[in-house]
Amino acid sequence: MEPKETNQSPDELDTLTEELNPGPSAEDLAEKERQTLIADTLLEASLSQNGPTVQAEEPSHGDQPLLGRLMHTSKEGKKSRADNSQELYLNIRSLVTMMAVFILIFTFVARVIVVSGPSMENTLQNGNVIVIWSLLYEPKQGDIVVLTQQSYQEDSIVKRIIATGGQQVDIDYERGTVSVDGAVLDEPYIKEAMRVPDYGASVTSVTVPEGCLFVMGDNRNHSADSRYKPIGIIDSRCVIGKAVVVLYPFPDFHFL
Amino acid sequence: MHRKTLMRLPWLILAGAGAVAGILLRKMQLENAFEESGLATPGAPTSVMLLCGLAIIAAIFAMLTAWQPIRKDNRGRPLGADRALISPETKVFPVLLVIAAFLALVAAPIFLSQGFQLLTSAFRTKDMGETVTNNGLLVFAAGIGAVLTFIGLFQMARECNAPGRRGRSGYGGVMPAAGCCIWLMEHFRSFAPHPELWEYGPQLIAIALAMFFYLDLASLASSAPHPKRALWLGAMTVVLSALSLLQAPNFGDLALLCSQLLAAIAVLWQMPDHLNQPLPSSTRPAPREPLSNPEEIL
Repeated sequence: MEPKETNQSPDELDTLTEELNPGPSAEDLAEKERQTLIADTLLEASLSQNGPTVQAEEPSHGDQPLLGRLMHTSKEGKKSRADNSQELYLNIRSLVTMMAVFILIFTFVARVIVVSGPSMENTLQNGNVIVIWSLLYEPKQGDIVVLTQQSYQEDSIVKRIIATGGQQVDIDYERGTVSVDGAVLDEPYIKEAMRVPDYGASVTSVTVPEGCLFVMGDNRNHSADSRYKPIGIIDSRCVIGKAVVVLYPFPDFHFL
Repeated sequence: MHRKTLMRLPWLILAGAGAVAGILLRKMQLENAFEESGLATPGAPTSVMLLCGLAIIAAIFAMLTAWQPIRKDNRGRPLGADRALISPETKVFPVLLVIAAFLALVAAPIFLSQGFQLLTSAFRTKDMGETVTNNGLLVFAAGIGAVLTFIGLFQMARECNAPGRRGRSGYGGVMPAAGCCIWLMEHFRSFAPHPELWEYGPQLIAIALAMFFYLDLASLASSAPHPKRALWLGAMTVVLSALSLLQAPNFGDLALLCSQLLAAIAVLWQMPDHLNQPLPSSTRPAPREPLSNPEEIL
């Protein structure tokens, strides 16, 4: 009996094949010519690409025919190879997607940075890992911010905002105080009493232009900040974000 | 008009128009929306125009994606998605992919040499007792990623000439995706301290789009294909890569941007028609004549 012509595409034939019982008996094969056609196609594909997956042996009386076992084993092998590739693809996809999401979050929302240097002691220690928040952040007085001043160095620096645009800053080294708009700031966060910095005569009185910031480190005597000419007044657009929490080391975990 | 042309023309024309519009808007922004210091003028009209323009382009591609006809099987899955890229007849797709592959290969030695230089200078800085800020490892890794991109794109091009290997055409997309992932990390690291997002944001997004685009090409060979999303991502990759070309930081980045641009154009050329009309069975190995006695196989 000739196999019936089918109008189905190979994909639909394959879909149909997957839905069939994977282990047809010899009686089913003998009765259904269409199943024979599918079985032959699968077997040929399996033998031509992958080789037989079981040793050929003499069929014994009453055993399932070799053809059925070969089909079943080669189909199982194909399925397991397909499953492995699928799993590998899904794993790679998950990893890559996760990486992309992290980077997009780190660029536009928040990021983790490592503090380098002693200029913000004792608030932040060298090597502290901190989280900074960037999304929709507006700089305010008293915030600890991460900013970049490329006239000074390529990398970013961590400082505290002392004054914002339009405010008058006065520094009195004899008394060790900083005044903003005539009011002396209460600064419990500074490491030690302020003296004239090592880089020489610096800014003692300045009016901060609009859209700019005056920043200083908490370790006043070991901090290159707005008092230092190469850094000077900072444009507020140079601020990357506000430090919100110290993550590491874990004993130092605290919100800023 | 020929059916294939009808299917691919809207995608190619709109992607080309979007790329040109993106380039013009970005050029206007670069000329008018930045101060001498390099910082962006807040609320500059050209920046707003660029953002709105990109949103409009994305919406137009979304509408085109919704229109894109795709034949489905009785399970509702896109039919022939795994063969949406394979075609022994057309030469345009594999040629474009091969060019894209070699452009990625051109970028590899540039990144590798830059990474090596940074690494040696990092060792010298460390010997002097100073803090190392960039040890160049990510740049080096980006060079290796460029090689992976070359291998993946070349593999996808080769499979056009092996139509019997069903279901393998998309998996080559995994390697360019991994390469883009490493490049994304390197690009972010290079510009992380830069306060001006407009300097590196567009290219960052272009790389991320290309990465997801390659992943969706790989999904075509899986049981959960996303051909429509792949088309949308490909079109957006063309637009964002084109406008990022204006400010590519170095020749390596330029080569990789051109590579992903060409790969996306190749897929926009090939896929729309094949999703509507999957390859006929004549491209598959012909089944054997049915045996009169199945046990004669032995």
